[in-house]
Amino acid sequence: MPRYIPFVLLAGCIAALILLYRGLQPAETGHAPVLTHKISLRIVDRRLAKGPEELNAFVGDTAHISVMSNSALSIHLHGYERHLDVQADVPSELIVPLVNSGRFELEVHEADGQFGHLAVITVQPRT
Amino acid sequence: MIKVGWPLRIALVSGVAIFLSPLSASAHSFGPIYTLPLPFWMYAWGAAATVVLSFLAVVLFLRARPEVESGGPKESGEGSQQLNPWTGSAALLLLLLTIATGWWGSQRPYSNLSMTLFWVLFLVGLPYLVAVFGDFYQRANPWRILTWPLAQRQRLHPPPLLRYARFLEHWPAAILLLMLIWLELFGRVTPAGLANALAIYSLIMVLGALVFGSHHWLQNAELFGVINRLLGRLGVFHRNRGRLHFRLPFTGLEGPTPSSTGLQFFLLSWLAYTAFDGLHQTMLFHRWFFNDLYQALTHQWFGSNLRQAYPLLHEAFRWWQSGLLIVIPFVYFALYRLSCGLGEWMAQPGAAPAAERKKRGSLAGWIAPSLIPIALVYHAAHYYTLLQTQGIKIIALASDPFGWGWNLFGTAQWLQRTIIPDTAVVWRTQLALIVIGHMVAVLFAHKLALSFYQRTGPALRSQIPMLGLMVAMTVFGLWILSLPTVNTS
Repeated sequence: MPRYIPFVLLAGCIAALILLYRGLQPAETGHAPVLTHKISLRIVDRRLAKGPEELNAFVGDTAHISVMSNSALSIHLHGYERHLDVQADVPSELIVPLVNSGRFELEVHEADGQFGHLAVITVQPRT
Repeated sequence: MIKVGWPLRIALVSGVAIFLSPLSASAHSFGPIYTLPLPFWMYAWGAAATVVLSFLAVVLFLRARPEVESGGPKESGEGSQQLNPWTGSAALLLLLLTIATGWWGSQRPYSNLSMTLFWVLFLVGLPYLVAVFGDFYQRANPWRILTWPLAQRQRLHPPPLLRYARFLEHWPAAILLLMLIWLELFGRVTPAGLANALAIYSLIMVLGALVFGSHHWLQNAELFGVINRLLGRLGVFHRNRGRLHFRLPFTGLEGPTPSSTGLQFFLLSWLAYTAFDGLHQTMLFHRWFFNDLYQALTHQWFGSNLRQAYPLLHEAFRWWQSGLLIVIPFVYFALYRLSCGLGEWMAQPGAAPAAERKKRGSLAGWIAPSLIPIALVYHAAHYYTLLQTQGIKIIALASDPFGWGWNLFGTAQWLQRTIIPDTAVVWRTQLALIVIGHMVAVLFAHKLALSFYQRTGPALRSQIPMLGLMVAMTVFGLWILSLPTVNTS
């Protein structure tokens, strides 16, 4: 086999992989409209009784989370480390500018350290 | 016996592989993972890159020649590390602090130093440092310093109570690894639970050292020592006869060989557990059990009303996962041995006489170190973000290790906000890690096969089934990363 063949093959493979990467990459989402997502969660006995279990958004969007509960509790958005203290039967709202991408859980935290899952906010990066 | 030439052997194995290919197509205890599944296009690109680069590697290997005709493994100094009493004592103090904070500190996992120190820094951060710089862990192994008085006594008054039987090899470490992974995935460990586990582990190390002798027991059963010794072979520094030497990254994989069956099993278990950890959190895995398996089979036992059957089904799911955790390393091990066996069979025509090769053991034992890069990149792709999200909180926890509100170094309020990794960066890092790890593994598997056979043709043919397995494992690893996950709470 001629000596130059491996180098030609190497260059060919790298070029093919670069072209494939660019070809597969989806259209840019960086210019997608910035949205405000409003969700309402109704909590009964510290469990989600009504409302979406998942919110899908892009970085730069804003989440408005309205919470109504039949008992006093604290809501925690993991990752963003945002807390919302909710009084019984008093509507409360948490406004979160979604600046980080990832998968973030919204949980009920109780005074005794117990917690319960409410919903997930999935924030996709803008590429 | 029917004689089959190597071209026919290649054709036979390729045919079987093509026939079987459609078959393959078909919360942690601590530490939040915020990453999103790899987008499908990245997974597709990674799979294509794996196949293309593997093809390229095969073409390049056609030109390769054995470097050392006389054969024989190189000396890497593995296992010759001396314990440093100062670093060893510091590590022992950290171990005692981890146990003490677990027992007497706050039971909130994120307020207690023990959880971050053990699950994130010791199990994730330390192995990566070892993989880069070499196995410095042996010089600071807390269990070595804990059993040091026994080692001194045994040096003066040999022998220990029992001789460490050869057949035990690294099986104790493999069993302890299974227990650690079970604890991590299903144990719902609190700081006190972790402290208990570490105390029991330390007791096992001391008793084992007492019965079998400190050197043999720690060499084969001290799980973290085994992991770091394997990863240390990737690092750029190594000690030989007490002196520190520099070597190129990964070149420690070339010696010493062969690896025992127990060590091969340990390595494949480690690979299998990382894959299982990713897989068991996916929606697909849950659907298999709660939907497909239930519809097809288990509804007969649990009742056809899913709502009523759910509590029992949920309990069965825990057993199902634990059972799979035990079975999956054997599946990986069997696939590895099958690939190596096929490789030996395909390499036979033109290979050196069996008696000559027998001196080097089996191909499976000889090339096993090439799996270490795959195990490392699997691990890193799944867990490295923990260092950024939780690992850095050790700075605050150092000031308040028990979670009692102390501020010993004035850092208790530092880095309270989580630094969330950028998803696009994580995806690219995961993709690069897995494809590069695959390439390093393929390269060194071939180099080791060359040193095993001492001839290019048989070495290349022996690697065809192994290459197929490595491509399958890499694509499987990427596929797991691309699957949507379920809620971890």
